[in-house]
Amino acid sequence: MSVEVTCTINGEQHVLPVEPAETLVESLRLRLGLTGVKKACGTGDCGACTVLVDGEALRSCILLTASMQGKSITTIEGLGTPDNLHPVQEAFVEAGGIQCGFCTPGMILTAKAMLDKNPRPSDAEIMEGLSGNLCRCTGYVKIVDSVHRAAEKMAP
Amino acid sequence: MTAQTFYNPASIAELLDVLDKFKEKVVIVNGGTDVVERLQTGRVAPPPDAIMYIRNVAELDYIREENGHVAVGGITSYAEMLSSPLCRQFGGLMQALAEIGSPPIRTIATPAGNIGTAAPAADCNAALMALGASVVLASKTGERALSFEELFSGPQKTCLRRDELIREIRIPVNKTATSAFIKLAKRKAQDIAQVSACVCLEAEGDVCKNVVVSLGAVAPVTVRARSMEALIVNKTVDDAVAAVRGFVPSEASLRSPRNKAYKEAVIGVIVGRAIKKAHAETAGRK
Ligand SMILES: Cc1cc2nc3c(=O)[nH]c(=O)nc-3n(C[C@H](O)[C@H](O)[C@H](O)COP(=O)(O)OP(=O)(O)OC[C@H]3O[C@@H](n4cnc5c(N)ncnc54)[C@H](O)[C@@H]3O)c2cc1C
Repeated sequence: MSVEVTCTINGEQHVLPVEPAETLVESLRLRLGLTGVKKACGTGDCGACTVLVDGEALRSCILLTASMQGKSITTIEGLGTPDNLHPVQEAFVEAGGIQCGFCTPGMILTAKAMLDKNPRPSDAEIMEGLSGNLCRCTGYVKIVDSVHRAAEKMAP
Repeated sequence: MTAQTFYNPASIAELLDVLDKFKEKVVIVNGGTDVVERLQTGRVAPPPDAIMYIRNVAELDYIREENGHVAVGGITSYAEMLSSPLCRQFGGLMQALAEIGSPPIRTIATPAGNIGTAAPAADCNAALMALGASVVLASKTGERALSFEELFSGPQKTCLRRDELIREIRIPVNKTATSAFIKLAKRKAQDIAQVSACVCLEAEGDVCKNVVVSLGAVAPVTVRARSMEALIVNKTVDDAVAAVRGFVPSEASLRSPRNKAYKEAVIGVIVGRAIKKAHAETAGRK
């Protein structure tokens, strides 16, 4: 029996008829074509599928879409546009925090949620904040630099 | 995909009605960090006719102190506990929670879900057992309380009836005890414990007077290691640490030849470290 879910995705209201056990990553990618949300491990371990739900970074591969009633979801597509990047996106581009790019949407959204709570994180806090986001290219050094750079850009 | 019904109750009464109606054919989804993946891979048995999401039952979301214990509601998350001044007194619990998963997991995952999954290596369960916590289970027919020692019947198995909700966790306040948790894992974030230990200690000066030791990942269920406690009581911290080193508690039952020798060798080391850490907190309190 499908469930009707009303939620906001990247600022737009959607009414989605979904299966009870359908995951948010499936709905976003397959129903809405938001392929910036990456699916890799499917077990909540790698962080590639991270989206913001009411401002909190969460794993969309282990969230049921049916539970998103009334929630506001932001994917990487809703953070900035190619002509008008969000400061965290800009910082990742400038500091070389992106190599193959697969982990990047999850990294950026996790960093955004962290910076909203802690605008000036230390190296240790950044590493702890991103400890659940796996990157197999960069070695993380440039990712940590990117987050510091984003913090500077976002400082009032 | 099977024809399932989705329930999103707003009250405990509504929730218990659904549990009563479907019993083992409904699966509760709390933070979902364990159960959603199991649903995807068809590992929820028996296959559920209904999925019930319980995070909108606001009356299950609280942390409060009453009647000598801190009460934690059935949907309260690790993140809420980590930022709660009431939980700060339970050092071992805070240390265990701070190492569970990563921030996006702790934002949504719950101690009730840790109990429901009943993994042998579950971190929160080990901490709550050492602290002497109990669990209040609710069903349409009433409530009962179980201690953590009574709660688990096997790997991924609890003594909960299928119409029961984990409504509340109660952690007794003990101003004379301190606690510490140590998790041995291959990597710091998002790893399963090889061995974990939580020690809750009442000391007089350097002498261990009362102690509870719980262990994770050394048996099919989280265990209380009374055989180890007996070696610690009435000894100085240094003597207790020496006594547990190399000791394999009778409560451990390691069957996998792959890691048996390793785990047996480290249990005493981990417990020793936890004793020292708990004692250091005692000193810090005075
Ligand atoms: C990336 C990652 C890292 C992790 N790291 C750790 C770790 O370091 N240590 C650790 O111990 N665990 C870890 N876990 C496992 C998991 O996060 C914990 O077990 C968590 O406590 C589960 O809580 P939940 O609310 O998400 O449970 P859910 O997945 O919602 O539920 C788990 C089980 O409990 C039942 N249940 C939940 N709430 C209730 C209730 N109120 N009443 C009755 N039944 C209920 C459900 O039906 C289900 O069977 C990790 C998981 C992931 C995905």
